[in-house]
Amino acid sequence: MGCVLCLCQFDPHALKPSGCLLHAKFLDTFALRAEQEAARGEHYGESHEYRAYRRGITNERDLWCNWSEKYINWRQLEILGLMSKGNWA
Amino acid sequence: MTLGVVMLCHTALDRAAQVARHWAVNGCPVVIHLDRRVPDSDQKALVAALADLPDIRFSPRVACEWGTFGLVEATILAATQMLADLPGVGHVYLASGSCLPIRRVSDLQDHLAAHPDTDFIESVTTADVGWTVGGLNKERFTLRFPFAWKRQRRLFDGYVTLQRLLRFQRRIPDGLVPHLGSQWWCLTRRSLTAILSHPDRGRIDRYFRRVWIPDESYFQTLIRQVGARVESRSLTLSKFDFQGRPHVFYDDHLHLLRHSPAYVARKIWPEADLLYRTFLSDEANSLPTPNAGKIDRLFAKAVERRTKGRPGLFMQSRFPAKGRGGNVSAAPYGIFAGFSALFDGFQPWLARANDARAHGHLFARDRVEFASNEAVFKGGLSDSAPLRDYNPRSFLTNLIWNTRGETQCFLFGPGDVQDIASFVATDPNARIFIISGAFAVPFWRSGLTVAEVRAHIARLQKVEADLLALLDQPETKAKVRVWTLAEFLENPAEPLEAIVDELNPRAPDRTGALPRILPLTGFGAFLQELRNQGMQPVLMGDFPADFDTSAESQPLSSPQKTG
Repeated sequence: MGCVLCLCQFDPHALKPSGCLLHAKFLDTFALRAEQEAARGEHYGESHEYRAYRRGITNERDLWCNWSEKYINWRQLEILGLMSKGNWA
Repeated sequence: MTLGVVMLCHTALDRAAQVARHWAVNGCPVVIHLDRRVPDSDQKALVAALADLPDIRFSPRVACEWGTFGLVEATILAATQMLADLPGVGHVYLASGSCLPIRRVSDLQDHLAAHPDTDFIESVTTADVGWTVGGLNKERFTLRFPFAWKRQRRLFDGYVTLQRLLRFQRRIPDGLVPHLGSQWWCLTRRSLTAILSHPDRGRIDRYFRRVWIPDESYFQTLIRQVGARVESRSLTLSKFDFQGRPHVFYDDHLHLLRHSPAYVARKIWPEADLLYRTFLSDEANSLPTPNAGKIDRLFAKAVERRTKGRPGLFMQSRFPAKGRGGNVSAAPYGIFAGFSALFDGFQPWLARANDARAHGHLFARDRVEFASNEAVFKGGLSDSAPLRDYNPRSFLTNLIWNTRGETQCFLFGPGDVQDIASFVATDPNARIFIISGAFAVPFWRSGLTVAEVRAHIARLQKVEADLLALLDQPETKAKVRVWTLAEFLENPAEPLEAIVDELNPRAPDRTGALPRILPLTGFGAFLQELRNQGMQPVLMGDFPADFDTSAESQPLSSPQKTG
């Protein structure tokens, strides 16, 4: 996609379509996964990323807060302004 | 009389075959024109796929380059064949391979049977056309266009510029009044025959070969020559985006298309299985009441959103520059300077009276003082001052965007980080209320000596004076109200009412419990002592040195209305 942000700063037209990625760390199964992958130790850098996640999760880095919203669908993400329809009607 | 359909096809031939079958099965003979540039093998496959339907014919093929006469020629070939081979055809509907009937074919047949002499073709004079993108209206008819717009854009544009420079003008053939309109029409046998057998056809065709996008003007112009009963609208729903490209309909548009009063829609995405499945199904769809207004509004909104975006939203695909909406937040919000120094319980009053979220000093130096002392606020905003100060504008616009539907208010003062000031000054959504000089009151109340606080007060006075000067500039878009401390104290209830008027104009009762003003007896003497020590407090206004009212610590009452 390239840098959409760079494009739309210079594009006189204001709104481009865009999506967003859901990172695996937002899923409730991720703690288990981090545990497994860290134990398997088959990732680069001695799995240091998975080990960091595991550390974080054991320290109760809960990403849920009072203001969190339950995921419904893409239209919700669009309304929240996390992604955009462009000129999709 | 029956309805015949001419289909111009060049791609997604499986879908075209499906639609042609639907027309034929429902009693509409079809003549298909296939772009010359489609490989013969594809043509054979299409012919084979439709071989069981005797009512489907294929016309001689010409190449149909976008915007050229080829499209008109193809239409003429297919229409001529239809009129010659099928004497029972009363109306001819021009459609493309990516058109889809979105109402029952019988509805369309009934409609045409009820209007046997009416030609449905959008036909508007060039002077009245407002929709063309790119600025070529009249010039489509008076310049020459030998270059392909899609493939040879620079030559195309250059040649147009050259002709304008040389003031070159083609003569429009006598008697022709150029009209434009949607390419997709439905004409009566009588009108179509009259156009195709026009005594001057040779000359007219030679002329139109060099007109730009003749498919949007050939029939639209000639229909005015043949004395037809024209209803100037297309029965085909076809929307264009802000760049003049046709909108493509996807499965998501099913609901929308079901509300359309049009009989056919274009263009349909070939993979839109749901649309094809729904509209080509045999069972009679019970369609809801058509609502053209809704569709027009929706598409107008889509174009507007694409060109302007959603105000106050800054994200990966919307990041406007300052002059293009980069300085606008999503909703009105209130900024209050000096109030909390004078009132007991100002924030709770603010929240209650304005039905708003009343934050503390959002731009305090040590941390963000969200309402209720939250460490994280809506949208995952953190109370970390360094994060906020990294980009104060984004911090504030995010906060306002994330809390749409709830008015935000926050305290501000010369002790806060001031970087946000230049943004709020030019943001039309900012409502700024300042009691100038009130920042000195807490120093007086702290019990510290004048000698200890003098330098602080002098520094803060400078900061506040700079803020006031910034807000006083002509480019300020914020709504700003400033009272000196002395002015404010003369009648504190009135400014509070002004606040509610501004932020919550529909508040049912603005004379309700007003906050209690804190006693200020002795503050005048404090200011005098500052002066005596060589500092010049100016922002407080003309504050009497012996300021002392017995009523000041009473709850405020509503101001007397004077007649």
